[in-house]
Amino acid sequence: MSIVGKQIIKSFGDPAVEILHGLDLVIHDGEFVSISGRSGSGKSTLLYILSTLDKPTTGEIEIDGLNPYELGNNELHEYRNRSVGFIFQFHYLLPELTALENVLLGPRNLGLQEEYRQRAIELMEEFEIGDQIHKYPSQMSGGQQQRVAIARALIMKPRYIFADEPTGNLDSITGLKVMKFLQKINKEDGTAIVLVTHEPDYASMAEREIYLIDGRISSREHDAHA
Amino acid sequence: MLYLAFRQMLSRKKQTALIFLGVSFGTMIYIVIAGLQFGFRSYLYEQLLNNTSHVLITGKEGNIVEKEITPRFFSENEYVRWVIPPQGKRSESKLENPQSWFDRLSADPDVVSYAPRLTISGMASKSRHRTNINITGIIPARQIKITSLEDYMKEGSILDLSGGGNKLIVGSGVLKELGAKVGESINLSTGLGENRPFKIVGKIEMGNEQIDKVMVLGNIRDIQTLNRTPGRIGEITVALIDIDLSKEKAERWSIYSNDNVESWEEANAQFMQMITIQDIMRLVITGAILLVAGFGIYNILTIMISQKQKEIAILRSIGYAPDKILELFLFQGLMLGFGGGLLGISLGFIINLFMESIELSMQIGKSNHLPVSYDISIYITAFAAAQIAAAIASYLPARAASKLTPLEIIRSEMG
Repeated sequence: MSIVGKQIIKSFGDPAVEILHGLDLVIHDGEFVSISGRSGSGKSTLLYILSTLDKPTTGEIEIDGLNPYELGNNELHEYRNRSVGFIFQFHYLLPELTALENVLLGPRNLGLQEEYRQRAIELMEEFEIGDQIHKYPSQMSGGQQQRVAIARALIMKPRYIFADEPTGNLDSITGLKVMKFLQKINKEDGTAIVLVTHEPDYASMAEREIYLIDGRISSREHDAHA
Repeated sequence: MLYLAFRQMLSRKKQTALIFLGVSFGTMIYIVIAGLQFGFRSYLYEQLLNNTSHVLITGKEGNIVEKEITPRFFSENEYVRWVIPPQGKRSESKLENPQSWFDRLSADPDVVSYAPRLTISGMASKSRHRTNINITGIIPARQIKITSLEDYMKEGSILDLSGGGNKLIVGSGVLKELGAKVGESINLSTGLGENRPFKIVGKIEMGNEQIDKVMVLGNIRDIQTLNRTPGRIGEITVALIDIDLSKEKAERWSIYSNDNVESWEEANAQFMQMITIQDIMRLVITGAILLVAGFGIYNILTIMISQKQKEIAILRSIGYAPDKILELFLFQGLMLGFGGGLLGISLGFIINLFMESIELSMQIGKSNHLPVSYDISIYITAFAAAQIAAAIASYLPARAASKLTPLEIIRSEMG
């Protein structure tokens, strides 16, 4: 059970500029992997390809041995709905919904919001925002909003969390808190986490660190368990 | 998605209320205008149909024309230019063979009933007062089957003319001119030298001053005698089972005879033109209002979608399919159309009730109130128009939103 990238090349524009140059990598189930590198090194691009939000120009992605782009639209949306959680640098909460309603967006898509309501409340209590459940995003701090976004990503008990600079917009104390949450989720629930960050300290909190230089995996890639 | 759409609308109360009112206003205006137009129209239809019924068969006047005279005096090869063209009248308008019409109409399954009439001009007088009148000779039992004249009787009944005996039903305006009342006698003359006394047995008021000032009804036999034309029928009015058949029937019957056969639309061509212009005006006004409301929905949804790109991105990444994004925004437009439409028809109905309740200083038909139509088709049309305008106006931006991919949005957000 894993996400496998084979010879991933991604280019943009006309004339084409290659951002990723034939990357081979595997994300195992339950792994905590960080992708870091300088700005423009292609780390977010790689994350979106691994998460199926973007397609590689050439090369292949396999999730549990299946090419996601050979799935029908419904299966792909179902996969994203049930197996994947996203955390972005900007929380992207829906301002007209309360914190709890935002967390329940995924289940609502499947008509399961009532079944997941208790779990949503538990998650929010775990993230110390249990007293915020009926508040709107505009009534919460940036850190609280980001924790709502993390709870939203976790509500369906996904197998993979893709986090793109989730601490980028937070102060260092809140950022560290978010990182600890991610570590906890990874350890306790066995959720695989792919984290993009340019903060070396946060990158090193992952089990495995992939360092990109100009679209190539650097030899600095290390396995924390090694 | 209905829930999310509803929440998004509630979060923009002012914009929502504005568009809501726009749609309501468009719907309401249609209902008010159409209610009044159709109300007046059915009043006018009734007035016209009382006069012409569905099909009117009239005799041709025997005029002498140049074309008929020339070949009698000159050969075909001669070119003739009359210095004073031949002119004159051979006979008055009358049906050539009324009995054949009666037989044909009696046998036709599409005909409900028919009524022969003779209308002549004349003068009514009582002591020193006199006034010009149109005297219509009718067969009472037949006439009431094809017109609603009986409804306009203020005193007496159309059937009081049955059996003849020099009795008249007189328009309220004529009575006023002559200073006469029901039960009294007046003299009629047709200009042929003789005055005949008639007894007034009823008073009729059509609610149209021009008609009420000249309208006099009598038994056809009495009027034929007064006119010294026994047995003459001037016209036959025909009522059909289906009014829409009138044109087709008139065309077919006109083949059988030299008499004029006109459907009520042909007989009232100017009126029909006026109705067409009214229809166009109503549609243009309402269309313009709904167009403005539609543009309102379109603009607000377009602006909202550009403001909500981040939210669209997150919904898509969570697994909301493009169809659901389309639904999210389409529902908002449809809810505005639905709610605005409902409010519009309610307001339109209330305004029409109010308009109808106003007492006017003049008589229109049977009452002194504005004739207002509450035909269900007006309300259905208004509501459907609001829904269609809202659906089109919301579908276009909603479709554009559904085509956005999450990554495009995220990249644009990241700069």
